[in-house]
Amino acid sequence: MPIISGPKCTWLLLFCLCLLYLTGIWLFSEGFLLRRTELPLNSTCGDFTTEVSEHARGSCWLRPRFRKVVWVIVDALRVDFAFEAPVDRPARSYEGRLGVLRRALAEEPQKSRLFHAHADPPTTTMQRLKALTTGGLPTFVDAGSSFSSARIAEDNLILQLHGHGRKAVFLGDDTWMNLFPSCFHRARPFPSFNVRDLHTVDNGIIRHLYDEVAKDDWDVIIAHFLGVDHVGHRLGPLHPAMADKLNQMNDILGRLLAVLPPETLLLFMGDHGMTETGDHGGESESEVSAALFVYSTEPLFSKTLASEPRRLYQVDLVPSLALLLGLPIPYSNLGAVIPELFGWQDSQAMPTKPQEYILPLEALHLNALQVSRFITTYAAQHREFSAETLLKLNRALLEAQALYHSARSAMGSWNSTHETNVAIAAYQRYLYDVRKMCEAGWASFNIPMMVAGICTIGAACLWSALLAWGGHQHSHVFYSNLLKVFLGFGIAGAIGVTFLSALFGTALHDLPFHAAYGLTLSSGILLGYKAFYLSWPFLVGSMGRTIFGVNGVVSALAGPGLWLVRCLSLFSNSFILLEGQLVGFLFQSSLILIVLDAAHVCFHSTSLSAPQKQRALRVVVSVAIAALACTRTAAMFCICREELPACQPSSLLVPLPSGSVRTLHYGAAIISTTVICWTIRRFLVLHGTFKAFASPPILLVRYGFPVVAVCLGGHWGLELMSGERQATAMPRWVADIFPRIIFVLLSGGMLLTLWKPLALYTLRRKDSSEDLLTFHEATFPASQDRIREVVPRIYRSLKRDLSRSLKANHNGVQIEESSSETKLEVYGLGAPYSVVLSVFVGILIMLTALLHTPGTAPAFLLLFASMVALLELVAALSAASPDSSDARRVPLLSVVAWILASTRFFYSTGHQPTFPALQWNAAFVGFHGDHSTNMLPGLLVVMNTFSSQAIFAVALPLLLTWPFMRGVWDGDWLAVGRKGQTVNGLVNEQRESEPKMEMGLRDQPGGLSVALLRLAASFLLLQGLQLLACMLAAAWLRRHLMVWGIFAPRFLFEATGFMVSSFWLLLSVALVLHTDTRLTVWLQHLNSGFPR
Amino acid sequence: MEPLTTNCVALAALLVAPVALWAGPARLGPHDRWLLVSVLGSGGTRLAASVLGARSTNRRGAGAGRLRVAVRGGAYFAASCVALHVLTVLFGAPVLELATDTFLFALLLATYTALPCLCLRGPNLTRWVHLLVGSWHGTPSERATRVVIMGSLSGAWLGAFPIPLDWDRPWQQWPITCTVGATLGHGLGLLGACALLLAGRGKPRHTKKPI
Repeated sequence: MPIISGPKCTWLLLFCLCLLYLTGIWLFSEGFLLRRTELPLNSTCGDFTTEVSEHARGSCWLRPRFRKVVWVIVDALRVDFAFEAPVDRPARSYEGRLGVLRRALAEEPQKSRLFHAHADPPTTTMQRLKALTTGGLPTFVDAGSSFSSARIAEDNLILQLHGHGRKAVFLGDDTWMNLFPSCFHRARPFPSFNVRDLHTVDNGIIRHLYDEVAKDDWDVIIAHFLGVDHVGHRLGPLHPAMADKLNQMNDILGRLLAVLPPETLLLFMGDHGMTETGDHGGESESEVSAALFVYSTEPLFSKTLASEPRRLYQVDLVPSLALLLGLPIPYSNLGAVIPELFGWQDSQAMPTKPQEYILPLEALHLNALQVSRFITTYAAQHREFSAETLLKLNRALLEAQALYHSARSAMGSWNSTHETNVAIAAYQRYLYDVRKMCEAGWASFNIPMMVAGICTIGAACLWSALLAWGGHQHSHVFYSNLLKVFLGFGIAGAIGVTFLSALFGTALHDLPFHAAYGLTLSSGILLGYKAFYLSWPFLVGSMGRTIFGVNGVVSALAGPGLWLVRCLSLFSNSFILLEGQLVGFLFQSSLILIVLDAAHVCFHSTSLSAPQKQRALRVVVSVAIAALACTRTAAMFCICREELPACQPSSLLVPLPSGSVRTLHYGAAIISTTVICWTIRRFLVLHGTFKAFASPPILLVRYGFPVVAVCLGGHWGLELMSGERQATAMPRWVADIFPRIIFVLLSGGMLLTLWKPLALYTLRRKDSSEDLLTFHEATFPASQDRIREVVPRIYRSLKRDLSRSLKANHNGVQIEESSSETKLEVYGLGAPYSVVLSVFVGILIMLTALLHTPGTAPAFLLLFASMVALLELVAALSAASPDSSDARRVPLLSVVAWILASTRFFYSTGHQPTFPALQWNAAFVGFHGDHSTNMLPGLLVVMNTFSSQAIFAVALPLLLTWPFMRGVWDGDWLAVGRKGQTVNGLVNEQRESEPKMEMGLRDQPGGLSVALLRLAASFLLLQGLQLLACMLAAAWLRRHLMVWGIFAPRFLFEATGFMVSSFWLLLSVALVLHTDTRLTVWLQHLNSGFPR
Repeated sequence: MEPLTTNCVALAALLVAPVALWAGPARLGPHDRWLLVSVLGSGGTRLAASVLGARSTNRRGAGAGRLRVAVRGGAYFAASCVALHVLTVLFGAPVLELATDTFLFALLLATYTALPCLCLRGPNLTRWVHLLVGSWHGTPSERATRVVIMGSLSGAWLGAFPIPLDWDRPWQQWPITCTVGATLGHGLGLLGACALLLAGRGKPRHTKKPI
C-alpha cells in the first residue's frame, strides 16, 4: 500500500478532521434545532362553503355565536393557581387567590368553565403568542419569508380579524406590537423587558381596560398582564408578592365580569405555567400546565360540573375562537375545536334543538377539513412525515367524514345524539393523531442525536489534540500512518454500523445518522486503543518539555487557563451578552502574558548585551501598547443587543448617516482602505518580491489593489448617497458596476494566486564574488542535500542585491558585468509563504469590507493593525527563545490570542450573535434584489457576518512563518525595530550563522507540513473546545429562560463561524503547501540548470 | 525594619482599613474612604519601613542625595499611577466617565505594586523590570515582593469578572470589585510573602548586592 505522505497527508488529515467536526455539528443541530417551514397561505371565507349544512352556515364558514370577545392573558398563570386552597395543609401564596373564578364556577356553571390547557414547549412568551394566534406548533427555526423581523407572517387570528374588518383593541405586553405591527384598531403597549418591574404593565392596563370595555367600537379586546410572570422570575411563586399579584388579578376578573356587555365571551388564561422557582421555557409539567377560564354572558355549558378541569391543548382555542367569531380558521392551525364552546354536552344530556347539538360536529368537520388541507399542502412540499402515516391519517379522515354524513342525515331521529357523539369522537381522534405526527416531526428535542453530536465533537477534539501534540518532531511517517488508520477505521466503522442498522430494519432515512454514529464510535475506540498507545511517549515528553523548559510554568499554563475561562464564560448568559468586552479583555491579557514571557526569556538570554536587552524590551512593549490601543479602539465599534437597553451603538456603524458625519465615514473608509493596500504593497517591496512582476500575486497587488480601492471608494460613495433624491434617478447598473468589478478582480486574483503562488524573480548576472552560486555548482545532481546548500547561497546573493538596491533608492539593480562567469540572483526567496499569505489576507479584507457599510472600514484597519502587532509579538517571543529547534512549534498562547482576536473583531465589525443583527444588506451588494436562488445571498451574508473569522483563519499560517521571516533575536531584529525598516536580510557579514528566514522552514524534509499540521490542529482544537462549550451550554440549559434568545443563537453562530473558518483554514493550508511544492520544483529545476 | 515585620504590619493595616466603611467624612463615599485608608496604611507602612531601613544602614549618604532620591521616587510613583490608569483604560475601563474612580483604582494598584518596587529597588525602571520578570532565584525579600505584586495584579484581574453578571448588586459597579480583588490579592500575597520569609529564615542569607 503506498504511503500517502508529505503535503497531501497533512491536508487530508486536516480535511478529515474538519469533516468529523462537521458531522458533530450536523448531528447536534438535527437533534437540537426544532424546525418547521411556514406556509405563506391564508384561509378565506370562500373555502369549504358547500361543506356545512344550511342552518349552520354563516357569511364566513360558521354563523358567529358571540358578538364580542374579551381575551385576558395573564402571563404564566399556572392551572393550579386557579384551584381552591387545600384544607389539610396551610395554603401556599398562590393557592386560593382567584375567589371570583371559583365562585363563578360554583354559582353559574352554565356560563363558566375551567380547562387545564397544555402549552406546547418551548414555553416562552413569544413562542406561545405565536401558537395562540396561528394555532401551530412553534419551533425554534420557523423558516419563513421574514426571517429578520419578529413579525408573524403566517395566517393567524389577528390577521383574520384585521382582514375581515373586525376591530381589535390591545393593551399590555409590547411583544404583541412586534408580532402584529399595525393590525390593531387601538393599542396601548407597555415595555415588557424589565423583569424587575412588577407593576408598570399591569397598572397601565388597569388604567384603560374598563374604559375600553365600556366603549362600543371594538370586537375583540386583548389584555396581556405580565405581573404574575415577573413576580415568578423575580421572587418565585411562593413569595407573598405572588399572593398580592393574584389578588389583583382576581379583582380585575371580578370587575370585568360585572361590566361585560351581552353576547360576549371572556377568556381568562395563562400562556404557560412556571416551575417552582418561577422560570419557564422548558417542557416540565408545571411549565406546560396553564389555566384557561371561559365565561360566557349567555348560558353555554351543561349544568353538571366535573371535579377536575378537562385537559385540552392550548392551541385548541384558535379554531374555536375563529369559528365562534365567524372567521375562517387560520391556514396552519393544528388545534381541535373545543366542542363545549359550541354547546356540546355529555352523551346523557338530551338535545334541546337538533340544529343546536349538531353545531359542534359542524365545527369539528370544518376544522378537520382545514387541518387536512394544511397537512396535505405541507407534506407535498416537505418530507418530515412518512407517506405511510399520511395514508393512515387520510383513511381515518374518510371514516370520520362518513360518520359525519350519517349523523347529519339522521338528524332529528331517536339515535341522532349517539351518532353525533360517535362522529365527534372520530374527528377528535383524527385531529389528535395529526397533532402527534407533527409533534414528532417538529417539536421535540432528539436527545440521543444531541448526545451523539457532542460525543463526535469531543472525539474530534481528542483527535486534534493528538495531531497537535502527539508524534515526534520529524515523524511525518507517524502522521501518514495515523491517516491510514483514521480513514480505515472511520470508513470501516461507518460502513459496519450502516450495514448493521440496515440489517436490523431501521428506517432508511436514519442512515446518515447511523453512519456518523459509527464513525464516531470507531474513532473513539481507536483513540482508546491505538492512537494513545502510539503517541503516549511523545505526548508526555512534549508536555514535560513545555512545562519544565525555559518558558516556565506560567507560560505553559497561561494558554490553557485563558481558554478554560473563555469556554466557561459561554455557560453564562451575562457573559454572552457582553462577550465582545470579555473576549477583548482576555485577548489583552494574553498580549500582556506574551510580553511578560518575552521579557522573561530576553532577560535570561546570555547572548544579548544589556543595552540590547533594554532596546528589545522597549520594542516589545511599544508593539504591545499599540496592539492594546488598537483593541481598545476596536471595542468602541459595537452594535447593541436588545437585551441591553443601556448600551449605545457606535456612531460609525449607523447605516445611513447624513451631513458631516457622512463625510467623516467616507473619509475614514477611504483612508483605511488606502493604508491597508499601501502596507501590503510596502511589505512586498521590502521583501524584494515586487520585482517578480509577472507572477499573479504581484500583478494583483501592483495593479489590482489600486483599482479595487478606487472601486470601493465609488461603491461607498454611492451607498452613502443612496438616501438622496439623485440616487433614485440613477440607473440600476451604476450601483452594481463597482462591486461587480471588485468581485471579478479579487476572485480572479485569488484563483490565479492559488494556481501560481510563487513570486520569485531570478536574474542572471556576471559577478566575481566568490560566495555566489556559480553555474558550475548549480549543475550538481539534484539531491535534497544539494538544494539545502544552495538556498543559503542564493539567499546571500539576494541580500547583497537588496542592500545595494536600497542604497540606490529602489531604482533597480545595478548589474555588474566585470566577471566572466554567470551568476544567479533570486528575489523573494526570503518570505515566499508570508508574501502569498499576506496577499490573500489583503484580498479577503477588501472583499469583506465591500460587504460592510463604509463606517466599518476603520474597524478593518484596526483588525489589520492588531494582526500585525500580534504577529510581531509572537515573532519577538520566538526570537527571544534561545532554543531554536523549538521554533516550529507555535506556542499555544499565541494561538489562543489569535482566536480571541478573531472573536473580538467579529463584534467590532458590527455583528452580534443574534438573528436581528444579521446585515441583510450585504446580500444586495452588486445584485439589486435580482436573486433567483438563496445560495448567493446566503453566501454573501455569511461572508459578511463571519469576515473576521475568515480573515484570521486564512492568516493562521503566518503565526508559523512570521517568526522565521523576522529571524532570530540578534543585532538585526533590534535594528529593524529601531529604524523601523523591515528589511530583514541585512546581517553583519561577520556572523557565522546565516539567517535563512523562511527557507529555514524547509530544513528538514516534511518539516513544514508537519509544523503546519500541528498549528492547524491546535487551532481546530481550541475552536472545537469553544464549539463544544456552546453545545453543552445549549443542551444543558435547554430549559433555561433565555435558551432561544441567547444560547441557541450563540451555538448557531459558533457552528457557522467554525465552518467558515475551517473552510478558509483548509484553503490557506493548501495554499502554503502548494507554494512549498512549487518551490521544491523550482529549486530542483534550478539545480539541473538555469531556468529560462 | 525587617521585611517580615513590614509585611505583617502592612497586612494588619489592610485588615484594619474596612473600619473606614463606617467612619470618616461623609462627603466621600464608604468605598472611597476605605480605599484611601488602605492606600495610606499600606503605603505608609512601606515608606516608613524604607525610611527606617535607610536610616539604620545609612548608606544613602548625605541629605541632598536622599532628597534627590525622594523626589525621583515621587515622580516614579506618580508616573506609575498614570501608567496604570492608562493600562486600566486600555483594558476596558470607561475613558471619561468615572475617571476619578479609575484614577483611585490606579493609585491603589500603584501602592500595592509600584511602591514595593520603589522601596526595594529605588527609582530605576530596569531594576523594576528585573524584579518583575526575573528568575525565581533571588533574595528572600525579592521573592516576597514579587509574590506581593503578582498577587495584587491577579486579584485586580480576577476582580473584573463579576462586573458583567446580571445580579444587579450595587457593588458590581466599576471599580469596586477590582479594588476589592486587588486588596484581597495583595493580602494573600502578603501572607505568602510572610510564609516565604519565615521559611527562608533558617537558611543562610544571600550576600546582598549593593543597590
